[in-house]
Amino acid sequence: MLRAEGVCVSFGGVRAVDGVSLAVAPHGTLGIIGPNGSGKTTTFNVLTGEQRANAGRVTLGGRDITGLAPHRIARLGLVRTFQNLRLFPNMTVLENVLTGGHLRQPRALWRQLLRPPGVAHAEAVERERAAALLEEVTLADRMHAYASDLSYGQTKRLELARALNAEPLILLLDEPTAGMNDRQAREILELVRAVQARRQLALIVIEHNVPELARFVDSMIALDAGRVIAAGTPDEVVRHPRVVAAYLGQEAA
Amino acid sequence: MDVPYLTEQLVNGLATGSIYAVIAVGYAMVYSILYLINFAHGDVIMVGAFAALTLIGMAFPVPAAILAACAVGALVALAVERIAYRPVRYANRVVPMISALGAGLVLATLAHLVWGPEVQPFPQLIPRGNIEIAGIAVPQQALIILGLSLAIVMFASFLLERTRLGRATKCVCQDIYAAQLMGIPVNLIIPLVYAVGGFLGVAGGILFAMYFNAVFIQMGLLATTKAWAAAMLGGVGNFYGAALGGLMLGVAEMLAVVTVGSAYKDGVALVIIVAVLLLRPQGLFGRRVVERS
Amino acid sequence: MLVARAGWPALAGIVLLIAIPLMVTDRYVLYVLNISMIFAILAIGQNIITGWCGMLTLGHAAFFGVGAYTSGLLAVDHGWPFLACFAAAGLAAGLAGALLSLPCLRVRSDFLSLITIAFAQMFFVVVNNWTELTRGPMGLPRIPRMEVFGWTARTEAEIFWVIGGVLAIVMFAVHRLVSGPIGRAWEAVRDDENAARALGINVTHAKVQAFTIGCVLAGFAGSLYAHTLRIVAPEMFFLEESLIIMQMAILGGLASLPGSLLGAALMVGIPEALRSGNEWLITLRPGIGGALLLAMMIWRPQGLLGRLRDAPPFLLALSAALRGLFVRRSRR
Repeated sequence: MLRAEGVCVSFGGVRAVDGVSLAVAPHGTLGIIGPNGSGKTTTFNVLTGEQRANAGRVTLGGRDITGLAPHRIARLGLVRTFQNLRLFPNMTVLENVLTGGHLRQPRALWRQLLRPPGVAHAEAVERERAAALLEEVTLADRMHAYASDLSYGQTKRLELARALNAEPLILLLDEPTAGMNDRQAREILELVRAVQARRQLALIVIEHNVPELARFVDSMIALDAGRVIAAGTPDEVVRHPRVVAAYLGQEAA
Repeated sequence: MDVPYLTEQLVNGLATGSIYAVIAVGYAMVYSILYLINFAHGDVIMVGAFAALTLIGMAFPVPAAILAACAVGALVALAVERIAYRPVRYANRVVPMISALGAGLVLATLAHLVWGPEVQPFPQLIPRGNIEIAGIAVPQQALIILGLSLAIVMFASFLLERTRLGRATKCVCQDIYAAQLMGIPVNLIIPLVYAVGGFLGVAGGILFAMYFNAVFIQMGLLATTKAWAAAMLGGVGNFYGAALGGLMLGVAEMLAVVTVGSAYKDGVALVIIVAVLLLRPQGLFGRRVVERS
Repeated sequence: MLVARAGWPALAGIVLLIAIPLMVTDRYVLYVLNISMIFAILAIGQNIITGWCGMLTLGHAAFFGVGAYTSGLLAVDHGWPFLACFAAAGLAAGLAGALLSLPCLRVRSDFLSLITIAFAQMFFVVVNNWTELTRGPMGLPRIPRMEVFGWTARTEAEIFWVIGGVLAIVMFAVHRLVSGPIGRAWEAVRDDENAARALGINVTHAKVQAFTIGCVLAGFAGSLYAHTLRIVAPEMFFLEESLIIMQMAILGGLASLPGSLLGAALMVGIPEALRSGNEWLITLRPGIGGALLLAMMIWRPQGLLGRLRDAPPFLLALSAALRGLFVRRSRR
């Protein structure tokens, strides 16, 4: 489904990402772990097109997407969430989710101005769909609240719902449990797992909470200083001596 | 063409350019920290220039009056930062720019009330006359202004490069969050940069007033446009680029006057802004171009 | 059926539109209302650019001027009928807006504010000096009245109906746009460009679209202005006018249609009402406007009726109450 080969990114003299390769099967799930600064988010940014790689190739469903603009990559079915939460604070929860479905919605100027019956109907369908997604992430009761009013956990769920509304083929989640206690982390990863199972999405998840992550991904890679230091099943990666060394005291599952 | 005439014009162009450079540098500093166009800058300069006029009129010794006026500029800039920028620092991008516009309007109206709407003459502080250099008569005033401006820019550059304060500022420019994490007092640095920007700007404004013998309320807008053209030419947010851009703008204006006529002098800045955006948005020396994360 | 879909505020609006000139007989009051409505259209255009799409534009008055001069010149020099002039005005302003914004928005939308300042200044210089075309500082006089299919609007009341009709159509159209995916895309771009991109929104396209539409509205407003005042002069389209238009949008409420109406009404009406005897108020006006901008941004960026949300909670309760009264959004 998604394959990256030999991706390198340098900032000035620093090699943030140094020859990273990864692959995810069409319905597979991949976890990415690694200490802070190991290049996880930068790798994500290359996959989504926000960051230009100095070397390497990224293909989605066999098609080369290296260097494409982010909105084009999104149109091809690759959607991501952000580590530092990028919601639309001045829009309601429902509107945030609706924006996720932007590509589906009739966007031509004249169609919106004249609103032939098809368009009005499409809008109604979109709202139902968005409402259903909010049900799925248990945010339906906050539908008309502004996104800036939500609690932290709720914002994470909103981001997920918004990303799902884009009907991705593959979903990239950047630290979905950041800043959460164990219970919340477990809840949200449960949600992610349920969502993935229901839709048979391909999934790549960056996570610090290694034990929880290991529980549900098919495969895992570990990064350190921009390089892949281990790849394989979660069990293999988590027990890998270099991984343990890199984490220094992190408990293996 | 006529060499003595050209030389005189060239020196004039460089002189005005150096004034633009001083003002542009103030803009560049603020922009490079917060990626905000400081719309109040021009009006701060205008208030400072008027303050200088008043102080000199009250028979203060000239150097003291100028320094005091620059300090006034710094204080006003600080006030603008505290009132117009800090409360809205984390809001949507457009909000601080709008509140800066508002602050600028308030300053302009205050100036109107205090000093009146007419153009006021600024005393001739540097004697006119020519100096002989290599057999060519060069206007003395222009040379002195050029020298003063360069000195100011060098001083600012010294502050930036050599002092701890300057280095801390550069850190904040690079990455505001990292700087905070490293314990740099961002809440002190930001107002300080505004203050220094205001100080420099007023210095430039006073030079402008000296050179053209006039202060007027619209000079804020004029300064804004020209300084921005200069900053964009050199590459926005780039300190030295802004200075160089200022010089280039001055020379470009001189060329326009010599070839097309003085009516279009002020248009040069506008044309440069548009041209830079169309052809080379990062300016001559800038790096960040497209809006990517 | 149209009315039923838009809700009762629309019905009330249409009734008001027809009734006001019949009830109000004071010509001066009607004149002020007419000017307010023209500026309301301007404020809506400004709001699309700044309120919904989050871009600062300081040259809106210049596009206003482009529309006014296009319409006036086509009528006076070429005898075009009003409707054609009106359409051409919108087209010209929109084209100018697109040409201006396209190269600029590729780069960084902050610079849009600079380029609009530059454009505004250049517009004034050109219009003031190109006397063969624009008649220069004296202005272009004897612009014909507005006429629609042979019927000429002569009285203030008839002018009210024409302008009011245009305003109603504009509000209807803009409401359609902002309550659907196009408006959502604009708001997404305003709130977080990167997130918008990650969802497949073409950010540059959205920005240029918002800017162009805002300019088209300015062009239409310009045409109405030219044929109402029946004279246009460069001094009407200073940079200060742009700031005033911006203040209208902000006072009334960024990203709010009724807010644009309110802002325009207040900023046209109040100076008119205070006009008698207070010359120093005219001097103070930019300062008051500036203080208004400051105050609004700090305490209530969403203006009196608007949508942006960075205000303290206790004001929001009031806003919610007001919204219940005024906002004409159909069940969202």
